[in-house]
Amino acid sequence: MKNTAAEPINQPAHMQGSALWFRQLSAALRIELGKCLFTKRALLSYILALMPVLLFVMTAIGTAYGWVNGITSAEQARHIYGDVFSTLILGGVIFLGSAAVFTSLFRGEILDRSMHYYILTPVRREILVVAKYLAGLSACIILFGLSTLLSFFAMYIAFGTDQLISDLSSGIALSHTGLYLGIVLLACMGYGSVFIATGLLFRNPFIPIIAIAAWEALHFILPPSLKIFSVIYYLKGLLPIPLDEGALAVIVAPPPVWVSVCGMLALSAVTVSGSIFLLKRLQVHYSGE
Amino acid sequence: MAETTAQKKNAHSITLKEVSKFYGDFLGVNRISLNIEPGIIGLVGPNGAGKSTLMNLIAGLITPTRGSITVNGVTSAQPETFYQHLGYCSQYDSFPAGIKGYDFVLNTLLVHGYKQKIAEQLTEQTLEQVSLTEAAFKPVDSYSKGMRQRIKLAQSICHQPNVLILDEPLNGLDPMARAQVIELFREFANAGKIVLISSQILHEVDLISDRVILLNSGYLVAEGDLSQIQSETGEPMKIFIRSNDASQIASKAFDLSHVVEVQLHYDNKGLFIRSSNADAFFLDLNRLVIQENWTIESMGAADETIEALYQNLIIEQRVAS
Amino acid sequence: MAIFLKAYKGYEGPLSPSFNRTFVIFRYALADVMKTRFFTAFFVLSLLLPLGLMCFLYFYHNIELLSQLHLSQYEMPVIDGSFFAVFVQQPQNALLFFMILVLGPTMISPDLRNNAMPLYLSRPITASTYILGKGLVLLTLGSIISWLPTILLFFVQSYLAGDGWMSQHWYIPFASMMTCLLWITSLSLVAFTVSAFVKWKALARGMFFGVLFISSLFGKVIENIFGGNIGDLINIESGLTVLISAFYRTTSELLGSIPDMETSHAFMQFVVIGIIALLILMHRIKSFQRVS
Repeated sequence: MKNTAAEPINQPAHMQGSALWFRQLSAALRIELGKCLFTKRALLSYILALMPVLLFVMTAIGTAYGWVNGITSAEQARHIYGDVFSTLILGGVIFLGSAAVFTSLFRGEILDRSMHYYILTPVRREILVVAKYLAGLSACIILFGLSTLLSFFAMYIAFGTDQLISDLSSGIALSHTGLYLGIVLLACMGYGSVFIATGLLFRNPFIPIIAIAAWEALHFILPPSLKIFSVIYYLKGLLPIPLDEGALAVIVAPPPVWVSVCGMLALSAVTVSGSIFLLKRLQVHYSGE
Repeated sequence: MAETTAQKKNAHSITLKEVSKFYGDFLGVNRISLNIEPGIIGLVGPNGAGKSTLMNLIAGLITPTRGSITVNGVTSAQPETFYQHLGYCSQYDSFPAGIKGYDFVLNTLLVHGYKQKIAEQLTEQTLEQVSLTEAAFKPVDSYSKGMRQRIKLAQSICHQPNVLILDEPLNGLDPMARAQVIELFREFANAGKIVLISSQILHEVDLISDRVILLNSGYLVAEGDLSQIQSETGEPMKIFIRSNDASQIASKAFDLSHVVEVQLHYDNKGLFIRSSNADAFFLDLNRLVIQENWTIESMGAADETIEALYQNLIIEQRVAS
Repeated sequence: MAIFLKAYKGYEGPLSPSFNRTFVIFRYALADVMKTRFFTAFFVLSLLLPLGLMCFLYFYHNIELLSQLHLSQYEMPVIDGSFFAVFVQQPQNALLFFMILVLGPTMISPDLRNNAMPLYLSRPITASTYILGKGLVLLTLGSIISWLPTILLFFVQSYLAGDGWMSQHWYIPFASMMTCLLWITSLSLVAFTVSAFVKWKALARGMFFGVLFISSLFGKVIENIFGGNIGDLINIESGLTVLISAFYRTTSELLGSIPDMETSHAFMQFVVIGIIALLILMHRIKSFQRVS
């Protein structure tokens, strides 16, 4: 062991203001993105992201071999994709995936008893929350965006590359994938911001996640004044294939695109601000975790 | 004089004013007021005395229920300034999942805002300081207890803090590593920094501390340098004298009214004396040495140790209560 | 040589039989569960269901009281297999699910988190003893709130109805016991398996819920696309509905749509899920027996 404490290490003069903030933000973002994508914790997100791809590869193979009845054209396949996207991908994969990724950003570190390492760094708490949020968002978009794209194109395996090229050149495939990716982005933003706050607010975030899942699942029977408090309300207007809400649904015209986008941005801003407030008041003693 | 004022102005300090921390009905620490200045300060107390709570409070991991804490005049509500020069090696033996020793230190420096190259250079230097260069690229999960302790230490000193808080930093270290780490603390203190150390190993704290803080059941029991605390306790002081005239000194000592106990060493060349008034005893002894022409080889306080203080202020109080 | 005189000597006396050790684990796990006020409250509340139903049966057969209330038996549901399936079995399934969701992950995750697993397995306790001991807790508590009260209700109804009601509806206790035991066993094994990989019980609960939620959703999507009953084979809820319908001899609309699946397939679905979960769980628990 070399004792050099008395010899001053060539300590760099610290930057000040926005330049320092940007460097800290990018460092924390990089570290957190690594945790979200390349640790054991990420395994669940990978499994979830693979499910729709697997499903559509199976569907394409089934269609090609005639095991699946009723899918005779690419248009029908796109309709089926639309249904699966709004139920399995949006309601299952993205919801649960966002819950797993964003809740563990803070709660996971508290459970691992490693939260204090971040708290002991000279970083504004705002930067820490934004870095973690952006890392979670990037990880979700990479995983679930890729899953959406791959499953969409897997659907075309049964119809050949000619059909794919034709749909791409006509713009229909591009517009659909663009809309689906936009929905993935907005859904991850909306759900992610809610779950990051949930992870900070609740010692056991499991019950609130179930409550949010129930609220989102039952949004179609909610009166219009309450529908605006569900994420799915802002997203369904963007779906290229309209969502069939069933006979019991209280039908309300979906909001315009700008309302959907602004709504998700506003939700993210409010909940991320709330998370900053919670982090500033966080007491790290890990008792009872 | 001007230099001394300037030095004082730049000196680092930890100030606690009437700090209390309650966890519901449970008392963490109560009404602690302290001003900690550069040097090595030992934080001593039995289990549950509130040592870790006090350290977590100073490090800003928890906030006081009442009172205020500043480090170099800044509170933890301003993390950018507060943590720039504060290093904390906590009691928690946990790390981010799957991380390697090198990345653990490097990530800390990157989040501090250091440039990649400088952060890498500092990481290597720090790992060398704690003798972990060879194990740097192994996962922390595979480290031994001592290695984990050292990587935690590296993480807390990598940014060259001026205030270093260490919760049981010697735990799990082998004797060689202990000596080296203690030397490292000494060098930090010599550089004018604050090193606040808690430990259960009293003789080690005794060996390295310039001053001590004694806590018991969440209350501050004593604070200051050992001799000052010892004299303030009002307990009879134990003095060791080495002399060829030990038996004569012993017989004369009994005549002094403030001497309460005399023990003659088995070789008749040394004795322990307990006096309720140390100042009066030393005056009387000087007088007797000249008068009787005794030769004194060595002399000193035998109970200026933390163990003795601990015995006087904590254990005996417990027994009494 | 004194040191040799004090050398360690292993215990050479008789050992308790293996099954006894299962009950040691069971006893401590049960004590831990009963310590929580939340579970005790839930447990007591869940017994209100059979109590309420018993009161209902009493009023149902009290013609005088019914006439005072201007009601008649004809305006009320007929008490048969359908009644037991819809008003007894279905709410019990929900209660059992909730109980396993709350308790299942707390059985193994804390042992993992506190590094207790190697300590358990360093004693004469095998992986199967450990799993059986923990599983018996859920089986016992689950039985107390599900099929045991159903049997009691069955005897009350038989006594009150008379006229050979018991001989006509002999299948009800069997149906209740089979359905509940299959539901408890398979859900418990899935919950244990999930929690054996996760140190934190909150996360384990989330994963258990997620596994069931996503498998049910995935099953429904597959059913929509492929038709047939491939989707139902993935969805454990479909299998449960088929079993209830078959065991209770009912096709009541109140059970919801009954999937077009053979009873044997539904039964096999539970067996296969249980076996897969058990194999993964055994493999995981046995991995702690190795000295690392």
